[in-house]
Amino acid sequence: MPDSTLFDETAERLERVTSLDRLEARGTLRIALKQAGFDPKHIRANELVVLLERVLPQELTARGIGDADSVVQRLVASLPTTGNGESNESPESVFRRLGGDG
Amino acid sequence: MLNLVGLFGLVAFVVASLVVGCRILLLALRTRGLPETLIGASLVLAGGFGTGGSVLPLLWTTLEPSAAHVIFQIASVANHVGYTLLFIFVWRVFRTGTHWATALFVATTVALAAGGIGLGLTLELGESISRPEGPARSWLLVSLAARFTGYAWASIESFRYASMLRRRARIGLGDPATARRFFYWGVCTTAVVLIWVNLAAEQLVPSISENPALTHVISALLGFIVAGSLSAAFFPRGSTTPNPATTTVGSEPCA
Repeated sequence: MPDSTLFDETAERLERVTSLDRLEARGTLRIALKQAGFDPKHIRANELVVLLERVLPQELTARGIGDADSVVQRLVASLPTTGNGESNESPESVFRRLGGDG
Repeated sequence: MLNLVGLFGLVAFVVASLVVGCRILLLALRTRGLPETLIGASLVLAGGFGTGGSVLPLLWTTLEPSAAHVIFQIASVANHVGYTLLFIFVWRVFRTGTHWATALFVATTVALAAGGIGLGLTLELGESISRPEGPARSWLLVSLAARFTGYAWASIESFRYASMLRRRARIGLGDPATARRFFYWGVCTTAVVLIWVNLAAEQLVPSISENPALTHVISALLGFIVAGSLSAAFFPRGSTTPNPATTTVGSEPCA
């Protein structure tokens, strides 16, 4: 599953398991991503897991979604477990190499 | 005294660019990475040889005008190639595949090339490459505008990434050392942007051009900032940070 569609698929699942409509689900997820310093196009599944568990619950609670933890568990369970390697050409990877940490 | 400060700032700028640039080029030999090659070559060409060559004839007062002119021209080519390599680095690393970024890269590089070629063709014997007075002055301003755009782009992207990585670190992801590297690279490129602004102000503002001592001091101070931030960004320290490419659920936030 390409990471570029991970955001879309996660937003769709969020819409299905909550009372949020499409715009609200995508907006909530986008806000959580921005708070955590991620670009929706480039986040990887293993990073999304941590973000969903640590940032999304408070966003859901703020939007009146009860049982946020259960929602998060269902989203996490549906995420892929493979293809989580960092691209060698991501800015983080490049700057890590430039500093000799490569 | 001011001249001495100016000289030290310039030397710090050139030495840091050469040392860090060569180090990164050696890294590029090992990793075969294009980004390393681009930024290493940019530092060596523009920060090192180009900047040094742009000033050498001004310090070497007994140099024949024709020899000074040749040195200025070679330095200008080294500079403009170095700047272009930096623009490619920013585009390639931060915004590859993005249409607006590609357009910005092309426009900036075309303007830079036009300014550089125009400067080279119109610089007259006896004129300084940094402070021309004839037709070369207009082309210098075109080149400066392109340099300002490219380095400002680098600065914005770097600070943005530093901010993103710091936010990630708060939830246990991201790498604080790499975040600091982006931050210092942002400081470095911002200082370079201010050097271009300083040069442009000297060309455009009569009260400043009549009193160049102040711009020399400002450039010197910015040279120290570039040297320090460049070293902080890309000189490896004794400890290395683990690659956070993968993370496990429940890992503790980074310090």
